[in-house]
Amino acid sequence: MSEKSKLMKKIQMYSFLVTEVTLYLDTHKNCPHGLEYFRKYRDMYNAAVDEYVERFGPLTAIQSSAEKCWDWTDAPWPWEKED
Amino acid sequence: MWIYEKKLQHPVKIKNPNPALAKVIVSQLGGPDGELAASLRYLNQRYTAPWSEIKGVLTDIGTEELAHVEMISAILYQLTKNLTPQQIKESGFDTYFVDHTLGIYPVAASGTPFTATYFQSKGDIITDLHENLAAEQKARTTYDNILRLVDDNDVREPIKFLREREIVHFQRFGEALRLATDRLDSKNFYAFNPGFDK
Repeated sequence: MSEKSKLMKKIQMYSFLVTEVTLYLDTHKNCPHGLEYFRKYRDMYNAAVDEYVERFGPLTAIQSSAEKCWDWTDAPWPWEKED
Repeated sequence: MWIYEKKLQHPVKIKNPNPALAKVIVSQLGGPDGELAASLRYLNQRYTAPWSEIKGVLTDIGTEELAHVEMISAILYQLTKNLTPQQIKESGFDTYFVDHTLGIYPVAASGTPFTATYFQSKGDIITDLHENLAAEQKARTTYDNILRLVDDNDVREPIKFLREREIVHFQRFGEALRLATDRLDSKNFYAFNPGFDK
């Protein structure tokens, strides 16, 4: 697996953990364990996304560096198999 | 994947409820040329679209249309707040109310429920982009018709914004069509389908 795929896998994992605990917190607003869990994986998610964007390009249009050219639309799109 | 942002693309602040207007504006939620059909059209077409710029245009416009679904829903919500049964009866909103109370539900102004037959995903980029160009113009006409029926500036203002977006999207789809034809056989654009024939 390429470095890019490995990092993507990490982002998908942290992102899912954040999604999951978000649903939990929606109905358990004051749960200290839930809040701590959210903060932990939110920080890991943000760090992994920052590294990915820096090395491999944007995950959202607003993260595009927009310097020399518009890399947002570059292949591959997520439904296309890469490796 | 998608992430929800807790904001409208453009503000909607309507002081006076008016269920008669909601009855016609609902067509831009669940009608034949509405925002829901628009979003589903582009977001379904993008998978088999050839060329990454065109996948980008379909993804980004399809996503913006979801924000328009939310704006139309906000308009409908505000136009139908705090109604009395008498206002509901007098405005003609009773035919919607009986099935949905004040819930937001995608129907055309005629009352016909939303259906996927309002859009196509043909797997042929020239065909799909022509469908999209037509769809943007049809939505623009619908907004023109809504503006002919609405006096309240609080309602006209976000509707005018949405009308303007139809024109911008039409322009971008025109450019996408140009990008596509530039990469095809100039003597016969239909010689092969770049999304299917290899």
